[in-house]
Amino acid sequence: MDAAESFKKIYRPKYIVLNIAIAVAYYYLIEYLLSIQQRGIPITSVPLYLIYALVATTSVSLTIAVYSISNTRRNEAKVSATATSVITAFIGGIISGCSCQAAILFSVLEVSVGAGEATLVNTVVGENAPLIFGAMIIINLFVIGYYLNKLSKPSCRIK
Amino acid sequence: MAKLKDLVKRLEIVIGLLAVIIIALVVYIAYPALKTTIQGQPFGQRLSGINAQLSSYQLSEINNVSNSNFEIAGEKLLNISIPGEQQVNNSYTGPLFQVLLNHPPQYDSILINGKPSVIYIGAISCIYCGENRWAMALALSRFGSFSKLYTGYSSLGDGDLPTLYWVPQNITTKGVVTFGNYYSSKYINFYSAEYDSPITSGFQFPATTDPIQYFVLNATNSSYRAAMQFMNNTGMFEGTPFTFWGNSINMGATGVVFGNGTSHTAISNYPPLTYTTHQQVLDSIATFNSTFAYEEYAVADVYIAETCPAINNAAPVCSLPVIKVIESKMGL
Repeated sequence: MDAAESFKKIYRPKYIVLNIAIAVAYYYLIEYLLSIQQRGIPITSVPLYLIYALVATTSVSLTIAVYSISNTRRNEAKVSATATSVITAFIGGIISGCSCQAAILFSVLEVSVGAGEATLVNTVVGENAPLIFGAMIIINLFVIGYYLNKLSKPSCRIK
Repeated sequence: MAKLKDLVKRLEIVIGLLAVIIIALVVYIAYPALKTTIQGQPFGQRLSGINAQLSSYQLSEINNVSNSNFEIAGEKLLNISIPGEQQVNNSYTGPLFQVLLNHPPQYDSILINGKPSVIYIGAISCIYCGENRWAMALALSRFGSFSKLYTGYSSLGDGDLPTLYWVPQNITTKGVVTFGNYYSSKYINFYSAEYDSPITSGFQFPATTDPIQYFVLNATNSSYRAAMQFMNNTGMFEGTPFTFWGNSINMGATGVVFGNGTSHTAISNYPPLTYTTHQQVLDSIATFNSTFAYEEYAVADVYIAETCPAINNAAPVCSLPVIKVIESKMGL
């Protein structure tokens, strides 16, 4: 069984519904994180297609993790795919709010490393947010590919 | 002979096909420019009329508004009667609007030529600076007047909002700081500094641990150097716009107005303000009959309230009842 077949096998109606639910939840997580940084107004300079792509890839990787947890003997994706999915979605919500005004990232960094460094990180992240989004999407695609490949191996077959 | 005729016929077909291909290519390449010429640049991708000086009529829509507009808008803000408005503690919010009436950090006035100062540090690429300059201009018009203002936009990668520029900006080069404005007042000085970068990109600012030092080093005269040094010495920079009104430091925009909106919006790159022209914003401010206008004046009221104590309430606007109430709420 190759990765594509694993993908088809996973995406039965139950997991399609789960994937959609996760995607909706991630979208609202990003919107919430963005809103609390931007005075309740979810405006971002990150192109929307990158936000949708991040939501899509993070939701697929979490869906695969859930499938792995409940269907495989050797639960390869339990921690790493779940963590990658949740962390990248969370970071996405935070850095999409990095711009000319101070954001969550700034507030957290200000306490830990000082205002100057926080300013620098906020500016650099704000200027490069689309690139960082692109990198996180690629990481999720890699995780999806990696675990689909793993799930296609006999050792990870369905219980 | 027949062979030659056949060859010519084939050549004509080839030339005809080539001509069609060339015409198609020319139309394909020129289409965006043609579309822009015919329809104008689409919202979200506009640079049309950038750095154009406001006409005297447009300027009067900023300089000559009525003080009663400030009173009415302030009352609406405090009575929670701006459409969609809600209040939680010192935060007054609407669908695309927020004003904070928190007590701002206080400093002694920066007296230059015997007058207290208003200081602005911003960036042309910044969406919050873009939306905030409208309210700033309204507030400053109560203490003096602008002889020139210019049309601008926040960067294409950060909202493409129609805004005002204090002076024409360098929209192609990263790292230039443009100082100055055409503002005069018998009550206050206005020192403005704008970080310029390519307007077609996104938000950009000096990427250092001490970005305001960049403004100090690039200041063009001793007054600006003193103003920038003061802002740097506060150590309060947390993002742009970074402003000082009389005695009050504002870390970021104290008020945010992103256009007329009636409900909470989804994640977006463009707020409603993006889909308006400079003239529509100016007309809205002048006619004073929309939610957007009330919100702009209400934000201006906060800046006025912050400035009045530094000039001992000498300007007529300082005696408006609502300014006194806002001063009191902000502990000024």
